[in-house]
Amino acid sequence: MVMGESQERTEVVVIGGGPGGYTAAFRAADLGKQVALVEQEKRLGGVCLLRGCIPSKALITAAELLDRIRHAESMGIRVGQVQVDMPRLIAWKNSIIEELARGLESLARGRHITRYLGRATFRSPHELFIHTADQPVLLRFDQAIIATGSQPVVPPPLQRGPRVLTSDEALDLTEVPPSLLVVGGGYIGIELGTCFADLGSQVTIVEMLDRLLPGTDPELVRVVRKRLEQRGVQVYLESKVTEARVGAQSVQVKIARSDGKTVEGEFATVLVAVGRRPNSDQLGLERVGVRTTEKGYIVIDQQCRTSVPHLFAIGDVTGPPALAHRARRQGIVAAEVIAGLPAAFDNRTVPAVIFSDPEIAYCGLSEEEAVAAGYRVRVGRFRLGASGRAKTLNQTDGLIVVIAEEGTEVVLGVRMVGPHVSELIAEATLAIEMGATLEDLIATIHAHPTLSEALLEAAEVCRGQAIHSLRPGKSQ
Amino acid sequence: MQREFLLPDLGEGLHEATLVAWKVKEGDLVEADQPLAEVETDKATAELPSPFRGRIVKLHFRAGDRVPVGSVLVTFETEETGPVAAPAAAKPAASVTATPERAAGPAETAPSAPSPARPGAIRGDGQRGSESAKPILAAPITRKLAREHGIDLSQVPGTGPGGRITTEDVLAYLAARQSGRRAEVTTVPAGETAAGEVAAPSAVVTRPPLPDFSHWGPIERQPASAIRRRIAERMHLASSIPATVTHADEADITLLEQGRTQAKPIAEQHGVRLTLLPFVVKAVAMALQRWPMFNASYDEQRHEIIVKKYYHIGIAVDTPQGLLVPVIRDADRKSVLQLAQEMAQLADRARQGKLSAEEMRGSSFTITNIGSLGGTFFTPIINWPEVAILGLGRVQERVVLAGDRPTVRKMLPLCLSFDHRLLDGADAARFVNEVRQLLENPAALLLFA
Repeated sequence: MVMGESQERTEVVVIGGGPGGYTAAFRAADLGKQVALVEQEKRLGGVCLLRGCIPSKALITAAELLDRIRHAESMGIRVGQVQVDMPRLIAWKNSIIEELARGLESLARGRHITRYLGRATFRSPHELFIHTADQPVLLRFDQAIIATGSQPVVPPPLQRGPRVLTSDEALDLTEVPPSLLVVGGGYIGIELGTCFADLGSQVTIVEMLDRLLPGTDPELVRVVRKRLEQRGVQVYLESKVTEARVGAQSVQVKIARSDGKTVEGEFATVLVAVGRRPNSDQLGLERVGVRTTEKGYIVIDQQCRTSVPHLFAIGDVTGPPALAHRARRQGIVAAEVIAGLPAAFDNRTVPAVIFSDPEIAYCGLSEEEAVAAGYRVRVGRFRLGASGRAKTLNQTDGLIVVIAEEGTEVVLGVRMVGPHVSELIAEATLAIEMGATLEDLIATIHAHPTLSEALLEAAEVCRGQAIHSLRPGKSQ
Repeated sequence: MQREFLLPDLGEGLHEATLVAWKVKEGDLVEADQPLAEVETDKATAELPSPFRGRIVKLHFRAGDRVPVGSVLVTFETEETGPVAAPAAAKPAASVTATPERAAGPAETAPSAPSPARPGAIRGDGQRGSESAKPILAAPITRKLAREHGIDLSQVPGTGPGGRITTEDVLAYLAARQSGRRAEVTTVPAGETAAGEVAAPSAVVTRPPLPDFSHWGPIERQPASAIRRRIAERMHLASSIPATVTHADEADITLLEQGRTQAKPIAEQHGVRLTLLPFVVKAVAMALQRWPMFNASYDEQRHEIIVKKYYHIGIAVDTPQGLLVPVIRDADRKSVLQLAQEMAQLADRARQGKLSAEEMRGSSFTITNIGSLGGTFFTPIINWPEVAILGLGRVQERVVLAGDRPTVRKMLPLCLSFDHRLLDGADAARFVNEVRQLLENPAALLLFA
């Protein structure tokens, strides 16, 4: 025992107060457990609330509004000079974070969850050493849930600094950089690249692979790519930053392209969004025997149990996809398993949502994945150009794709690109989780006039009985 | 502090359960999750794990009692002074799940039914979501129900559209499983397990679903070959014999080995490599004639013993595909040379996978020989519906006292597993003695062959 450390005890300790961690802590407390929550930041919410989902969506919404105002003239709205008050926008965003963080705080307090501010390391399988600002704490526990999340990776030659940012810092820029190089064409790069382009930056995106949003169906990406180009965003595919010289006002960058040519550029700011790595290296996991993969992800089973049966792990630290909603579900599962309930993370699908312009959302299998998995498939596509609601929104770029198994008509996957598809995907996710068939979608009345009808129409096309398209194929 | 453990709601709208047996007694110190008691409802038998660690102060019912749900089963003295959360007893009906009593227990590792591995995430959990097996179609509430009852959904026939498994399907499967289990119990009634002994009421233990092994390290799933599945089935049948005993002895085969060495060139002229095994087959066939109960089967339905008047000896052969047991017919009527010839042919055909099903049927006794691979004594598994099996270990040269003089002898380990329902230990000793004497004294083998 270290002199001056205080010794405390709890039944369940949750390490990390992000969306996975606080969910697990709240659920465990609601199930009657004595719960402690260790978080190194003052506020709960993790990357999602403080530096991720929520702040980026605030900025993206503002940028989108700006874009819509600029294109409002076709609807008969003439607007003069539109200006962005960046400090005010950031303050608005911060007020949202503040309010939500306060809400979490009172929810934790109301559940009598003991809070520790500091970093935690395992000292033994049942002891956690918490490095707090004042007195270190030795916390003994029965079960622990590791929810330490992930952090952005900044690969050389780039180095984090005032001009080379990750998503952590980009969301606090109080000035719109005149020029922005986004390294990485994944969802974070696309979301923030689009956002800053709307706010006024000249944006360049560099992606190592041969397409933007790798892992997303090309037909969805095409729609987003077209809109990026309309904004004047420069995209370099199969390219990579080989040199970056940081100056006082800008960063000089060399980009090696697949054709062997090197492009040089000068950017006020560089945003690095090439991926994330798990926060698993500072926990002393090797000391307690928790198995991790080569990349440092904690290996878990369907009960979110690690290789040490009383230690659980959830969220980004357990591997991709690094999504808050996956972490949330895992948090519930881990807490319920600890409480002796028969829970399991046996979800058929984790929906993916990209807040690009227009939005992308998908769940279940793509056509390609379904075929690879041995299904005979039927695919139905419905373009939003034929949707009355999309027309009245003045946002007709987009499409809904439904993939079903031939014969049984079981819905295997749904892909969407278009306005508000981040909301529409929920119905599709439920359908897949329930094992729904095309008939279930088709026979469910979808309110008119809404975008949700597009999913119904795509299901009808998939079966070959569409109302709002011709040549719907085989009818039944 | 004192804490009480109430009979939890066992689900399915049941109001009471029969206490089959206590697993603990008053005064015991029990760990969390240690089984306390076994209870039986109309639908299932369940073990009740202890929700906490503590000393048992009082057991409130006796085995055989009908216990209403919610009654105090056990009073504990626990060390803890009571956590912030209410103990289990304070909220017995907090949840409709099968094991609500665990909800508040400070369980070290609260186990929940591991769910079957097949319904993996289509997309999501990067580490184990990419299985190509088609996921099982069932709504989350149905999957949860299956987990609660430890049901592997891949075994449940789905009646919904596209083969979707409905909650009703799971309930129907559950009901079928319960009645199937009861049928099993009646076919092997308690009390007949061992000669003359009256066994306790048969306790039905459900085999829990397999754990998720990938949890402890990388795994690979391989389909079991048809032969492997057949072997597994046979072994399962063998395990239905409730009382198997193995009797072990050694035969001094020094003289027999001398004789075999002398006979080898003669056998070679007939194209046969003369091993020890045909001699053993011969000896066994002879011993079976003298002790016919080892050549019998037991009809437990009709309470009859079927004594076979033929002596077909199964020979366990290790093949690349797995264990096969070709059968030598009428071993009693064949010479050692004939036996050797036939066994060599059968073993060859077995290794090449050319045996017909008929060639592996009808044995009345089986010999398994692991001696060539090493090992002395082991427990052979009876080849059901036979009642005994002889296992041969490795022949070893050993220093043995002949009178008071040490001599080097070749010793063959003999392991006879037998069905104690039909045969007693003394019978087994007599049978093995017979085989041993025949092997130790080749003249006797000659005499009766």
